[in-house]
Amino acid sequence: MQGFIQHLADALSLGSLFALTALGISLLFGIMRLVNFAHGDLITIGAYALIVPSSNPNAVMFIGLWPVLDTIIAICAIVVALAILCERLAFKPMRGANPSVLMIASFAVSYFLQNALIMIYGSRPKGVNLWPALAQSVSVGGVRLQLLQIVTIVTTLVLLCGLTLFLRRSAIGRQMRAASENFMMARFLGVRANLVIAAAFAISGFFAAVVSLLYVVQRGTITYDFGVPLVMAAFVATVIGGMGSVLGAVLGGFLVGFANVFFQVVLPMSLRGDRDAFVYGFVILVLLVRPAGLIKVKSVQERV
Amino acid sequence: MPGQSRLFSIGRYLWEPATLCAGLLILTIAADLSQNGVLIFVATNILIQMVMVIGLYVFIGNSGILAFGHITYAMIGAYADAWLTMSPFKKSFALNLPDFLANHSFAVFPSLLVAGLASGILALLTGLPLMRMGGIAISIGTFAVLVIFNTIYQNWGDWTFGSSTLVGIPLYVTEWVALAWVCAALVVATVYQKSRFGLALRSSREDEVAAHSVGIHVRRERIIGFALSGLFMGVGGILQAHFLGSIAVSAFWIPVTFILIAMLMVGGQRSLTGAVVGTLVLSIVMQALRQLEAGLQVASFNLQLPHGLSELGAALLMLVILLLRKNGLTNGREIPWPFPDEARMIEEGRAKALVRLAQPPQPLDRTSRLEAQDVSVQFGGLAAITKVTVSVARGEIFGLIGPNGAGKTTMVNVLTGFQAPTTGQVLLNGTDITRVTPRLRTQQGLARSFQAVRLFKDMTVLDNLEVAGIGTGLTRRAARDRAWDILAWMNFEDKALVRADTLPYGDERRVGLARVLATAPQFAFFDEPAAGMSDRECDDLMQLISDIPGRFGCGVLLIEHNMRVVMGVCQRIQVMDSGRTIAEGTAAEIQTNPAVIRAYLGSKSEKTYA
Repeated sequence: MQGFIQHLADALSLGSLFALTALGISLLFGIMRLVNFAHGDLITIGAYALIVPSSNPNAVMFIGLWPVLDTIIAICAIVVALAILCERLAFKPMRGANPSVLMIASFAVSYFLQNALIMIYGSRPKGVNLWPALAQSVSVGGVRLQLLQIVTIVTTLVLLCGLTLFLRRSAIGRQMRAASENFMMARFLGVRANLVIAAAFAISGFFAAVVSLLYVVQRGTITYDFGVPLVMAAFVATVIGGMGSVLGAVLGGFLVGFANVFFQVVLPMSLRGDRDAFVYGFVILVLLVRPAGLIKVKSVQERV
Repeated sequence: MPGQSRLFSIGRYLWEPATLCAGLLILTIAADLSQNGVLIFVATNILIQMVMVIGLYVFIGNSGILAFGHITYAMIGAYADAWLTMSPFKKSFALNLPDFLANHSFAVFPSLLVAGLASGILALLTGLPLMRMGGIAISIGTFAVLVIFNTIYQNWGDWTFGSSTLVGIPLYVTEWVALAWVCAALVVATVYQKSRFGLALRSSREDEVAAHSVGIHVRRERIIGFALSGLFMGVGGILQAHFLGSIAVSAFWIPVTFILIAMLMVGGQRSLTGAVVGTLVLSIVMQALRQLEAGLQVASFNLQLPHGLSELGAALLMLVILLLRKNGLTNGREIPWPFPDEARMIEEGRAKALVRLAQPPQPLDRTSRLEAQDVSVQFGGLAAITKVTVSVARGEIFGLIGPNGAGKTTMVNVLTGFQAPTTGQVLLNGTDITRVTPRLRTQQGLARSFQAVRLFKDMTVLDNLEVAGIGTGLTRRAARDRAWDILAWMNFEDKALVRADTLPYGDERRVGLARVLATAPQFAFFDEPAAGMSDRECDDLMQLISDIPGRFGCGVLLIEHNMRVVMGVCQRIQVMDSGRTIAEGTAAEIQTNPAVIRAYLGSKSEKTYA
């Protein structure tokens, strides 16, 4: 029982990170058909912003030493600002381009950001010890769980509820939903494209910042491609969930998280290194059964 | 002179690879003459990357689908080739291979072919599941392939030396070997892109739905292009291994992927010339920036820029190209053939077509019949069609009319397989085809035009028609003959070599109609062919449609709002309103039918409410 609940917590917390990342990608895809590869680098930059810029491999904490709330606010502000900056400089001029062009542009932005990080911080991994208190275990109903996992799962639940409320109740949220149903029609009806897209980038950046903080506590080490595994997992999560569906992205994220932990548990020791190969192979199997993903989105299908 | 004309057509066929190879040959000779070791090294590296970029182009350029996992196939090829060619002594240091591989080493050329083929086969196998998905999902799926094989090779120590660098691969690749493979890749890519397979894949890039509708098996064509593309990536990876003498799994990852894709995008993803030009330009720019990183003596200053600048430069260059020139430096064009011979080609096409058109057409088989029985279609709670029955005989011209929203296009979608009926069935000569896909229905003789026309825009009019011939099972040559026949019959052959996206609107619709005929249908469906046409154009169109059954031996189902056209050409007319049939008969019967008049003009009682 202890073992099962431990695995469940592992799966839920990993799935949470994937789901939050996938949400950041899915929001932008729904509204402007952008598959944003650079989302992973926003996560990376959120982590690097914690330390003093230097190519010295021994990282010196900077924002990471501030009081917890200040750190969170500062990292969120930095990543959101960067997300909006990316939108203004790279994606806004390409608005209306087809999805392939947008995706390739985001690939270029990602390559740019990663190499800029190498330029500033060097390419060697850096140890970052943020909020060590989260590493301790706590006892919940007789089962010992890592505090970080509980924080991750609770944060994700709160953010998911918050996003749902925002999309359903707030004026901007409703406009975003309208825009992802039919962008052109939404504009005809008075939805302001700039506002909606900037809001989507801001929310996407906010999620990236949160993931960044949670993931850096978990990993303890950062590299210039820190966010890449997350963005890869989130990509396949959005495809499994159904491109453009926000709910699908969350489901897909958790599914990939569960698949990860499942293979980690069932694979024999000799094959454990190949876990990712099994996870992504499983993803391809799911897509063989449901090529359009779990939740089919009408506005993505073409009308004859 | 026939001999000269044959020479001309071969020259025209291989013009792009020949000019590109010649240009690269001159550059290679120049590098060689400089006797500058660094320059020769750089040149060889560029040529090897060019093989890979040409490989990327074969899939990305022709299919229009981005692929991020191609470096996997270079890795597969490089390792397979290392297993074959390394000396048993060197293998014994790092690898733990089965006896047969461990104790032998094979000649480099046959090994390259075997290992390259292995890459191609792996691309084929991975392409099978990937291509079941739609456009952008395929691109993301290629990332999954990248992760899978990267993980396996990292952990497959006995065969790959794990995450360590495998050294001791025999060195044999010089600038000349690399150039030879670039030339081979250019020729094969050209032959592919001019073959029926390349044409079919490009049609799906231009309009996937229309490609299905003329019988193209889009998934199969994508898999073929993907496999060929993977094969060239493999060859590139192999050449790289035998040039550097070492390989490491970690090198076959995202940064290289980015550079290769950036090369293709900078040059222009839609042309082979773009692949070559892009590789050259991006390499030269990055090399120049690297020089600056290393430090450059300008007068008495030592100008030195920070390390990493070449990568930032590559990313910026690509963004700027995407922004200002979406189809790259070449704008997606190949090097133009310098001899104006279009008039001669048109003349030839016309002359041959007129000979064939002089033959009497096949006698018309009027026994075929297409029927839809009691078809209903519901979208959610909305009934688009309710219990409608339609029956068309081969050889007749049948009109389906009704006010907007009557369900006419939905009916055509049901008949051609683009919409599954909620209830009811579709029969072709008594056989139930309700569940048959649009593509297979086209091959069984049902073809349609679209209200939105959906031409393959970046292709010539002739190619648009050829795709339809290919989709219905013809060879490239037979498809071309059929295309000329139809164009000559329509007196449209002057526009045969014009790109479809430059046509005026009326011509566009005419090509849409011609493309339907190019599938050699038993039943042709025209969805509003006269929309937006002038009165004179309509007269021509009426003449054309009237002649279709006699010439092509097919039945015609016409949806049209222009009543002059409908009444002028249709032998039988069915009128729909709000998803139901309200009348059926000849033009004269329909025009006096009170229910029809009410549907179109509204009854008196309704008018008072309006």
